[in-house]
Amino acid sequence: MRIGIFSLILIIAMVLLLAGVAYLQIGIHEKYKIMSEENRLKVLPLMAPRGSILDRKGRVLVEDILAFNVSVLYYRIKDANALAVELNSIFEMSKEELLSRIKESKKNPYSPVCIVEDIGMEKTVHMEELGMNHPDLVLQVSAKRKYIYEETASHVLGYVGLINRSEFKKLKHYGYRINDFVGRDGVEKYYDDYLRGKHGGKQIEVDHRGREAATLGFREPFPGRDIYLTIDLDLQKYCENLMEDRKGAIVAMDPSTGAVLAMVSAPAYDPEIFIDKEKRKRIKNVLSDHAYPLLNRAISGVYPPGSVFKTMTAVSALEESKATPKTVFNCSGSFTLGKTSFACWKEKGHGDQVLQDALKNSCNVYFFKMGLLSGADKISEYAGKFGFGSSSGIDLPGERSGTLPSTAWKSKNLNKKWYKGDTVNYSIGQGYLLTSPIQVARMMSVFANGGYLMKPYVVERVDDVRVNSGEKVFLDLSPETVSNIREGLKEVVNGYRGTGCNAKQKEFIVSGKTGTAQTSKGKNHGWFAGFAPFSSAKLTVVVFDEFGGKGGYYSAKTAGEIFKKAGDLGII
Amino acid sequence: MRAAKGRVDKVLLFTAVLIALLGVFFVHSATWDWQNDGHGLDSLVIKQAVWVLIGLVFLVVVARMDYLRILNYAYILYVLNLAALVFLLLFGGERYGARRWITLGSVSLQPSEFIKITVILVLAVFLGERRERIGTLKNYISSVILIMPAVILIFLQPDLGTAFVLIPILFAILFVCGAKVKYVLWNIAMGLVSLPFFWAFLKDYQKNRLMVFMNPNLDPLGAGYTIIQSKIAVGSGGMFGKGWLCGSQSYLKFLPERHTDFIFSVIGEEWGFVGAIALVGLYAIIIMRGVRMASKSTDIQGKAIAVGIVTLISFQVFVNIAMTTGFMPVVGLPLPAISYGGSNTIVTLIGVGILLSISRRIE
Repeated sequence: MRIGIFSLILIIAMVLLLAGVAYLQIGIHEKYKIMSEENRLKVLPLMAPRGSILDRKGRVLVEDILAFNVSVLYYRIKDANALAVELNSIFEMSKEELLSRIKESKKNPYSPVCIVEDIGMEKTVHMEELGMNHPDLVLQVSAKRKYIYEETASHVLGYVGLINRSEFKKLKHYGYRINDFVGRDGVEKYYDDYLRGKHGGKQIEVDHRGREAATLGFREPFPGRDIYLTIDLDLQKYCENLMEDRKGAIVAMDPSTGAVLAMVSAPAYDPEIFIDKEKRKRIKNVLSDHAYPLLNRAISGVYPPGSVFKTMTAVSALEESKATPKTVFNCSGSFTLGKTSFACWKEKGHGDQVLQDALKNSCNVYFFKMGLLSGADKISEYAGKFGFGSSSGIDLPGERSGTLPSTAWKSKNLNKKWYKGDTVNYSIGQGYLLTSPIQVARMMSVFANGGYLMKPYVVERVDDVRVNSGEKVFLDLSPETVSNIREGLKEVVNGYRGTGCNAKQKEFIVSGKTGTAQTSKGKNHGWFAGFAPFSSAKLTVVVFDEFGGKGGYYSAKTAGEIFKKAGDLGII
Repeated sequence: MRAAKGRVDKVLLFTAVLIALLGVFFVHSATWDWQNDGHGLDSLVIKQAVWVLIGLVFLVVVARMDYLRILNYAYILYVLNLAALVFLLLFGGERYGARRWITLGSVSLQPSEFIKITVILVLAVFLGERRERIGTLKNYISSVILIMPAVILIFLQPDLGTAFVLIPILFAILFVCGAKVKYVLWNIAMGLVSLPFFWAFLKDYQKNRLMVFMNPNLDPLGAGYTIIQSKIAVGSGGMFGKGWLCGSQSYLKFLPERHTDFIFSVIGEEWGFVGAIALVGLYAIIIMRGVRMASKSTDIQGKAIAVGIVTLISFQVFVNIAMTTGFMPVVGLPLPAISYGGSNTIVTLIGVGILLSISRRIE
């Protein structure tokens, strides 16, 4: 009996409940259907600006500025032709182009689709007046990326581009929208997650004329986060000027942390060609330029390092006790292996030399002999420890790891036996070996800091949060090996007729190694890699001149100027 | 002790499993767009699936036990549960302005969910001990006093909904087990009269919710927001809904708590009235089977438990759907075994497990 009453109450409750749901979903369903389907319910995106990119001293390099765009609401257009004619009278865009853009908007009939971008202040006012009689036009504010110093640090900064359809499909679940910009290279790409703001939006109910009648929902936009680079704007610009009309790369980094203070790849490009409607005309030139300005030579270009690599031959021989710093090798000007003769760059020869002389003179024959004692695989083993053949892990996209040859590598990749002649070439940084300037900078930093391999980075912090912290690996070399090579490197720049004397400075001791790498194209690459001051080094500099002749001359001179400037800036 | 020989109620078992599995699908749908935030909310679906699995293990364990044996532990469980609530009030960390969660590693438990079951058990054993004197006023008052600590502790958290659900459970059990109707009616009247007194105890956001319930447009971007968004979602679903993962209200994720208390708005939008009827129908099957057990159970304990669990489930379904559709103020009760949440899922499945245990005695 009581159970009966109990179940009756339950039945009544459930019936009432379903009646209520029925009222909402069937009874007054039309009201909500109109709200959601016939576009009475509108979502207005509230753009969140992308974060800025600043240099190590907080100087803004990239920021978002406001731009006004004209968008159309396709479903409200009465006469597309007439609209195109009218807009043609205002903007410098052909009627055909306008018409095709208007028709394109049919794909998203209920959302505003941008057809004329960045119309400027004057025309914005004009459009606002015009918009009164045009329910089919919407004036939208968007953010525009501004690269303040144009080509400066373009390879570090990267660029942004409008998201394309296939990217959108992949990224839409991460909050990207159809009109979003997405980082395409450099820091813009690598740190896109941080830089990108989180868009908000407003959901409004509009009346039959499309005006806002009530606000139903609101989601606050969150601006992207600011990125502080390790780059020093002054040093960066200075280095770029030095590389004007040259092809190549410069890397300047703090050997005790791996923080990159300057990274130049020449020629450079202006990142705004991808976003600014005027500059966009230059894209074609940039893309078809045979000097490949988009390529970041500092991390994505790989080249034979030449004599800079002799340090690795020395490390392997010393660490494996195949030679000591006092071991004498004689240079007669050439070296004969079987029937082949390998020349030193000095025809007369260098005579009897110990390690320091050989480094100073950059004698080939000395290192041929030393390299043959070590063997190619031992050289590779130590060069691998110093980071050659693998990516440095820098926080930039598109890094290439180059080639670190070995007997196994050759038989696997070329299906050929490794010859002693290969070892001879290898021991002076020629042959199959390919390295990037950042790898050379890492290698030189090991000598600068006394034995640690650093992970380079270009971003210091995101807002106030440090994101990189001088990650390092102790290479466990014997202290004697490191100090002997350091002494040799000091001699290169400061010794009597040292090959790197062009880099010499009065205020502090610069040490380093030059390199002139022969290429199959006849012209040579020039290299200089060095650090200063000698004890407790503050800066490692690598200068790479693509087909730029002798490293001992231009590259060392350039590096010397960079060290000097760094001294003036208080970095050293 | 009699041995439980009867077979388990298969209809009840399958319906409960079906509801729990549907819950995983609905949580998927509700969190679908949430993935945009990049906070890995898609993992909520996996978590919910894990909760369902854990819940089913509990269900099987409980169903295989003799419910009269479970009752031996009722007082201990109740006291432990009250202790957990006291602990929360004293040391619990605040989340969304309330102290409801005990966090053990990466898992948060809501003792207030578990009290829903322990209150039912403790009432069953209490009334079972006094089966000859159920009708007396003294017994009635003792029963009320017995569960008052639970109601008050949860009210202080504050968790209005859960505190509120304990009261109809009490009334239903007392009523079905034979308490005098006039006591029950008097009690309800007294409760209503003292309501204004409770107003003073409410937190500001709770007062707000009640005010806005009367007129959501008072504050369309604040407290009325959820109600409006939820009504638009359910209302625009219409007869047949917009289809799986096609709810447009999700676009900017305007509706908070879509995967927890407001999951019915997702169901209503995507599956329409047909889906709502089907869902309520599934719950109705569980409720009907429970009522049948209450009427067939020969002992007062079984009756009390069955009535309690039936009340628990039906009250939550009713209040949850009514608040999602704007017919009741938002009080924060989950849709049993469907709303995202480990405690809710496990407790509901334990409840069904106990019903199954009872079914083995009567079939």
